[in-house]
Amino acid sequence: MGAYLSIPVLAVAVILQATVMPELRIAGGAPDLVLLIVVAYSLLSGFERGAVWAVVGGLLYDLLSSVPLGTTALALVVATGVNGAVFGRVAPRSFFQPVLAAGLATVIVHAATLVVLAFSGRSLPLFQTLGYVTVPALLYNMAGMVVFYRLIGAFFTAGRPRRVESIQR
Amino acid sequence: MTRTNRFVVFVISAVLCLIVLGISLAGISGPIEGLLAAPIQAVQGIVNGLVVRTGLFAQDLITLQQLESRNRDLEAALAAFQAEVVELREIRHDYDRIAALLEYTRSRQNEEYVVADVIGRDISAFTRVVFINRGARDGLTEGMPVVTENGLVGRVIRVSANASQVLLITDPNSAVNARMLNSRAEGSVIGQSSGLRMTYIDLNAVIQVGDTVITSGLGGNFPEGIIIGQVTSIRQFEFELFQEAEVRSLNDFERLETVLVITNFQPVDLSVFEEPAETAGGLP
Repeated sequence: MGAYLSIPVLAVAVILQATVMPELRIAGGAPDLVLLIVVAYSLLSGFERGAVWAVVGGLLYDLLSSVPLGTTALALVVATGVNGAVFGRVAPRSFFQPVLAAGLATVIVHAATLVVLAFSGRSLPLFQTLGYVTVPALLYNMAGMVVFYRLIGAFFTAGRPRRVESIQR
Repeated sequence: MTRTNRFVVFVISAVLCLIVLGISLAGISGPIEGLLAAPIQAVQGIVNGLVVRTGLFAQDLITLQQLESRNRDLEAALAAFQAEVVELREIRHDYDRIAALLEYTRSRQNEEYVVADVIGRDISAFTRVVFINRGARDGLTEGMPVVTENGLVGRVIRVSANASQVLLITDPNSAVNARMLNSRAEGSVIGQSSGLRMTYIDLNAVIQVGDTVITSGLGGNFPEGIIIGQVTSIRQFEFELFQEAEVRSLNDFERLETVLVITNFQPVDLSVFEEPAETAGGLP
């Protein structure tokens, strides 16, 4: 999946994130579709391509949120970079690494967002926010990654050119 | 891609984001943000509307199911309550009847009663007979008077072990010796298809509409003083030796439910006096 595909895919994800996901909210946390897609794609295709998806997804996300534009984009770039450094590229059928990556990305994105919000003068109570928002989102995203990684992995595999074996006569 | 290149991509991406963030924090990205967000927000509005409607629809379905369930529960409860109300009304009705009967028995303490329920009516249209659920085992015998708190009902004409037949005073075969409570005029109340008629009233007797008619006790078939009914009209004919009065019983004989059988009254058999009279005629 190329960089151009990231815009419609992530736009749909952002819209679903803004409309459907609040219905699934437990406490303050909800599954983060953009994060899951970006993390899954970056694990499958590598950090370099994943960074583009992180920037695009983060900017689209911020357009529909009240945080300063670029906050989530920066947070996702950092999360993608850390994931790339820790896990590198991960096979489509892997199980634990994507789940751990989703958890790590959630923590990084939330922490980065809190830092940016604190810098912009909108500091939030740290522990209360972590307990009320981050922990449910962490569980949601780790559970959601089990499904998402298989799903995106299937698309990713289907979209890649197959190796053609030589035909012996 | 080498590790260095990855680092370069990371730095470029991060710097790009930081620039955007800086512009945003500086407050100069508002118009651009609005421009970029507009189409997404439009789609978001549409999708959100769909989601809200879907949510409301799902909520309506859940509410509908809950309402259906609750409706079923309420209908069942209502049916149970209605059955209970009917049962309580029946109990109250029985209580009222029994209380009235009890009050009647208190007013006539010299008599002994057996309470009986009316369990059937004669299917023949020509007779006025009811069946009661007391019989010989309860001490009933033929001829015993049957009353309610409203007055005389009839007398027992046939007894089985557990049930009896009561000939109502409205039966054309019934004749009760009666007396006007005020004028003391005597006569005989006989059954009519339309009600009761008191006949053989002395022409000189002064009777009025509304007078109460009671049993006289003459003939020995009924105790004295049981209310039969009230006079509703009087008929006098010059060519007749007696006058007649229409009597209306306070009992509704079509809706008798509970009656009292007077068990300590034994009708007098006067037939024994008739036979010697016949034989007496033959005596020298």
